[in-house]
Amino acid sequence: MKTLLFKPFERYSEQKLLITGVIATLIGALVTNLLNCKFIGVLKMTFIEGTSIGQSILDNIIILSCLILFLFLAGKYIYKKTRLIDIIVTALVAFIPLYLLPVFNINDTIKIATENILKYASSELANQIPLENLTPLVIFGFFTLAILVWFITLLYNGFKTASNAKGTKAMVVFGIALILADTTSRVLIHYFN
Amino acid sequence: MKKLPVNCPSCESPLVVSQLSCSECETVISGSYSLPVLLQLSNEDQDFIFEFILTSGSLKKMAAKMGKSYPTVRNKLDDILEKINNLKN
Repeated sequence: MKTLLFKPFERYSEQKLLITGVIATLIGALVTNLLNCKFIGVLKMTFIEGTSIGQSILDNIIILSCLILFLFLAGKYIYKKTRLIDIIVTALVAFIPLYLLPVFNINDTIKIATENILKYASSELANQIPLENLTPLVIFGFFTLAILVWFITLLYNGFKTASNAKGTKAMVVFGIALILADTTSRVLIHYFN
Repeated sequence: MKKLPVNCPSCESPLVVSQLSCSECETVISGSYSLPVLLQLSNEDQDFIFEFILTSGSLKKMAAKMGKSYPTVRNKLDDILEKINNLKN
C-alpha cells in the first residue's frame, strides 16, 4: 500500500503509469472545471467561474509541460541516462492527489466561505467571523497541506527513480526545478488566459 | 548457505584467501590470494548479477521478473557498477 501511494514508480511499468496518468489528467481537468476551480501554477489553485473545459485542459497541459521540462533538465543534469518517459509519468502520476482539492469546493463551499470571510477583513470585525465560514476553510487548509506533502513526496520519489538521484545535491536541483516549473507555468497560464 | 565474509570483523579491512583445501585428498594450499571483485559484493548484488546473466542482460525482462520498474532495475545495476569500479580502484 505504501509503495502504491508513495513509490509507484519503483514497481509499476511506464505503460501502466502512463495510462493511469493520462486518464487521471483528463478526469482531473473535468472535475476541476465542473467544481469551478482552476490550477494557475504547479503549486497554486484558485476558485473561478466560467472557465471552459478546453481552458482547463490547456491549463493542465501547460503546468504538466513545465513540470516535465524542468524535471527532465534537472534529471539529465544529475544522471545522463534519465529517460523522458519516466519524467512524464512522474509528473502525471504525482499530480493525481492535487485533483482531490477541487472536491472540497462542491456547491462552491470554499469560494463562498472565502468571500464571506473577506467581509470581516478588518481588525475590528476579525473576532466576529462566523464559525460556519471558518470551519470549512480550516479543514480545507489542513487537507491542502497534507495533499501538497503527498504531491511533493510522489514527485520527488518519481524524480529519484527516474534519475537515480541521491543526496543533498539531488534535493536542491529538484527544488530549483520545481520552483522554476511553478513560476514559468504561472506566467504562461496568465499569458494564455 | 553460509555467507562468505569479505571484510575483517575486527578492522573492516578486505579479507584475503590464505588457505584452500581439497575435500577429496585433503591437500592444503597456503598463500595469500585476494578475493575476486564479484565475490566482494554483497549476496544481494551477486544474486542480481546472476539474474542479469540469466536474462541475457535484458533489464526489461529482469524488471518484469522481479516485479520492479525498468528505472529501478537500471539504477540498481548502475549502483553495482559503481561499487565494482570502487573495488577495482
